[in-house]
Amino acid sequence: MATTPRPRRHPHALLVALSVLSVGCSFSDSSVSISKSISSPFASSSRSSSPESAYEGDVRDYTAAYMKSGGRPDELRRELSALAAKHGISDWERNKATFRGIGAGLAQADARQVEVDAFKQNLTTTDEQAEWMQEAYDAAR
Amino acid sequence: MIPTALRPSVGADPKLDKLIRLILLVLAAALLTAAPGAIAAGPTDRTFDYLYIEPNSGASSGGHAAVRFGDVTFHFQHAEPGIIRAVKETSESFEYVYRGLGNRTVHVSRIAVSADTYARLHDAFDRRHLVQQSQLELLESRRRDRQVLEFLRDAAAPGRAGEAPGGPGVELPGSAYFVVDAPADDVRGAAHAFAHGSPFPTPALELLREQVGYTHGNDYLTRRSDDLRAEIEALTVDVSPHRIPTFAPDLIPAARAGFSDRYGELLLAWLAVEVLRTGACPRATTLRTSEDPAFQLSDEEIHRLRTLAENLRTDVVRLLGSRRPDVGFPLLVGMARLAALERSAASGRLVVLDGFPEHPQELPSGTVRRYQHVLRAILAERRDEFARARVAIFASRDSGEATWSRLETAANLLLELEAAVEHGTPLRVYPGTPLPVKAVPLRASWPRPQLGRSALETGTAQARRIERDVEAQLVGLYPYHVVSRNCVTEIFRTLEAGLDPETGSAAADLAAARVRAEARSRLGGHVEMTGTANFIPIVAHRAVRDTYRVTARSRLPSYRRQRLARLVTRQSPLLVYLRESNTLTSTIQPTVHFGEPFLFFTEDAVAPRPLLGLVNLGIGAGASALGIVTLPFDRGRRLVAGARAALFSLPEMAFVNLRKGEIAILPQEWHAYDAGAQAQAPGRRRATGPVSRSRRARRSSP
Repeated sequence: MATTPRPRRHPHALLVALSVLSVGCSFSDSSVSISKSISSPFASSSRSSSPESAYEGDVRDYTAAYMKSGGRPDELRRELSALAAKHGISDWERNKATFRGIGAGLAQADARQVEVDAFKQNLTTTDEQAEWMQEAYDAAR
Repeated sequence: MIPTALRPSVGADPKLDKLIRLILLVLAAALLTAAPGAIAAGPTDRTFDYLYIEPNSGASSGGHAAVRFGDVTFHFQHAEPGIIRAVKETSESFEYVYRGLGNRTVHVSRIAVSADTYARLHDAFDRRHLVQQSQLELLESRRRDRQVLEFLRDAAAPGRAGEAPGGPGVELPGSAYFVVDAPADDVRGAAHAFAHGSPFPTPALELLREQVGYTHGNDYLTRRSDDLRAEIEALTVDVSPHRIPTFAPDLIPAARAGFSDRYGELLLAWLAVEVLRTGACPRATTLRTSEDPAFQLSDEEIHRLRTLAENLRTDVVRLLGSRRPDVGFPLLVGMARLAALERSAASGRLVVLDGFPEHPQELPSGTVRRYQHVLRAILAERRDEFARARVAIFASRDSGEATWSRLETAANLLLELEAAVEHGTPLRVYPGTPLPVKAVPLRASWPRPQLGRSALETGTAQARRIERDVEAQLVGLYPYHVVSRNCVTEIFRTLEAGLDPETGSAAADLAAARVRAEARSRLGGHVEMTGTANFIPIVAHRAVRDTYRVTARSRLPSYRRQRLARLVTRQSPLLVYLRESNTLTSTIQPTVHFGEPFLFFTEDAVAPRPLLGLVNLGIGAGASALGIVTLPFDRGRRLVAGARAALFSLPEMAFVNLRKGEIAILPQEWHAYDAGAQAQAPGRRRATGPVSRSRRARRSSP
């Protein structure tokens, strides 16, 4: 089993370190900004997958982190709006992926059924939405 | 693990405390090191990659580091306001920027871990990114509070009522599809700002209005408009400091909506209701189409669009009765899309909403001409993307809004680039959001909170304080420091947080022992940051290879290296070397961005590197001297560029290469792109002009 190596002498690294003293960890060169400014927002890896499934994954991850942070269900509504917009969705209330993502996220955060019920009560307006959330929660547990 | 109940209490007797702590520390370390199997590290059936990115000149001279979990890569960048910021992006996008445009070779160390460890680490990086993103969004929200309050204060100033248009940050997304962007002469109300008398009728919105009356009542729109106005006027400024939570690196801040968020939501909802109530129609210039055959619609496709329009109309009617606070934006976009769908069916050509800002940034026409060939390659990609997006809409019966937004975005990108490439016009820069967010600034003539001048003055001052407090919290939590908090240290900090999520609750020395033990068990060893040179990317890269359970090492060549490797298989290596060794004859980097003047690429020339570096140094020094002469005319740009060129030539004289040159523009499929084959006269290889901001927006109306 390896242990922490003793720092070695790196003449090259020392030179690099000298350069680091002036700049580091950024990438804001103008050439990059030109190409990035006209690049497509769709990566080819995302071209093959459904945009809704990527959205559902993001809702799941956010809900899990939100739950672990002690967030309240009613405040999640506004966050969902911003999250959905990043995926080209303005009407997140109508989107099945929203409620499936929340259910899966609650399961990921080890939420209890009573907490799932609280999210259902605050965020769903139809029985169908509540069912989507519950199904995803049950499936991910 | 040491149970919480057994943690030594601090404060009773410092010497005893120290002794107990030391004993526990030794015991814990011994137990965890001697019996790693006690920790459920499990079989190492998953892998993740530690990436070291070679340096380049400019802002990347120190090298860079990242962690890759399959399709997703995490890394940290120095960002405003002086923080080290977590970035999450697709691995493809990361390589495009760093290997392609940045022209930097990436070294991969594949590390074997158990499924449990993989999940812990991935979760730790995801969480760090999400939490920080939420904190940054909170800062943005509080900044908007200040900007909106300043706007309201100025608008309420004696003799200035109604004059002040909102500045940056107080625009209403989606509003520009119906509202004319001419605020100065409009002080009487929303109806006068709406676009009436459109060259084409919009019965879809008339039908929608009828359906709303049928569903919610004939006077619903008037009542709703009055209610929203009353709600806006009753808004109070609650910017008290207690509403700002204390930030923590692992907790999403639980802050309620700010004043500007609430005002903006109510105002957008009011605008949407007014659009429908007054019979406004979308501005003709915000709808786009093309004579290109790719935009022609078959009868079956027209039928599909009519079905989509019917579904959308039902959704808009439902939205008008929704209790969600942010109903205004989807209502405005939904209505504008209804008009676009109707226009598509009527004209037999696909019509979409223009997704560009009213006053977009632009690539000047000179830059467009200079990069004509690579832009043509990108145009081919855009055509493919548009074709795929079309198929996704017309081949599937259950495609959702995200799929439509993708088609809309693809159409916008295609039309814009086509116009630029074919006619050499400036290229508008897409805002990057996959929703149509064309906006006009806030207007003083629209409903406003009825707040007195002193309340606005007090509120503005409080909002400014809160903005500063939130920013200070962010900087305090994630301060960028070139040695102690940089792109490398944050990777290991996050790794350690993932290895032992309870670290933060333990005493520092116990936590450190636990993390070391967990790292040995789960990763094969522990890379120490404290008191070592491991904060330097290349040193950390070697430490990872020497320490962790690395099962494979590989090198992903930069764009230039990749092209060179291909060229030598087809041509004489000596000829290739001589031709590609310098910026005058190189065909690989015809679009290199000459921010810093230099002659020789020294990445591949090890033995003659000092000599070539000396020449590069001379060129940099010469440019600097010339820069002193041109200082009054170019604001010192040439002087700085020359000085930087000279600076990055110095390491070359000591056999160290930092500068690789950059690539200005590449297609998304850059691996297969042969810039050399597209290269034209050497005169093309000059610096690009800056991205400019123009108030002129070009539109093609249906």
